[in-house]
Amino acid sequence: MSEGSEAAGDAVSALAEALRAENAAVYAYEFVGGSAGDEDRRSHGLALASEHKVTRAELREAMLDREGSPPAVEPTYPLPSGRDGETLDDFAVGVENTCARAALWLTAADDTDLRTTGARLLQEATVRALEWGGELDSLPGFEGG
Amino acid sequence: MTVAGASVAAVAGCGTVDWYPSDTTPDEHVLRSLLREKERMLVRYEHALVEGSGPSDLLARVSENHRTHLDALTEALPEDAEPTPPTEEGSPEPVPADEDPDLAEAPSPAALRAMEAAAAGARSDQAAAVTDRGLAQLIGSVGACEAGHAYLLDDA
Repeated sequence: MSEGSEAAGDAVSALAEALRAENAAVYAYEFVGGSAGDEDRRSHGLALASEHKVTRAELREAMLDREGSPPAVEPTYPLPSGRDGETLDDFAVGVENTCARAALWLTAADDTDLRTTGARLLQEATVRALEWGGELDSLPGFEGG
Repeated sequence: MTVAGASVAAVAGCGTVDWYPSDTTPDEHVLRSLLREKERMLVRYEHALVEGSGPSDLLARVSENHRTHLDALTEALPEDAEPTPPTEEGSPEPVPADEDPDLAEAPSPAALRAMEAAAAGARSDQAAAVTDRGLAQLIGSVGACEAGHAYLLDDA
């Protein structure tokens, strides 16, 4: 594989990972929006489902621009067993941490457009995790960061 | 492009041109700039903590994050890099952060929040400007932490 095609392959792999995370996030927030016992969590969940749909569309377009195949949306994704507020908050923090890790991979792309997209998505996921009561790591996106 | 012994690097995405001495790589140039920024940020937090101009728990936590960033960025310098950054010919020596009169006053949480937001906003272009992919990730992650600081300081 030439250096150029290897770099393009890395970009497509990173985009696919980010898209899988966004697919799961949309599903997760639709669940939160539909099942939370309080209006605040429901409306926040639905608002974030919409935000993640926008991100998913953006990443999908980036994938198609690079002649990659966006991963299919799965019929289901893992959901929490409980529906109480604390369980849903922890679940949402986990969703955002997954998005953050995928975004971090994008920041390593040779393609500078993808890098800046990755850096932006990483910031957004970090702040959303805080909104749900998550802890701020000194190096978000990295394992144990 | 080489002009009179100095290389010129276009910082991708922000439309500006930065100068750096010819024996400094673009990655090291970005790193040095980040390290100076972190040192200045730490001095600001130290003043804020001493003056009690904000919730001390939060300021101490944020300060610790900046120290972690400073360590990680220092480690990312090339092994053969000089301990002190080379200065451009004819330009004044930079004032050490802890002696800079501009940093003598303790900033308010609102001022710190604005600085964190501005710093986070600059990271995307800096991540795009470096050649090392691992360094791009580190800069992106530092920016995400700074965005988190801005969020936390908003409530302080």
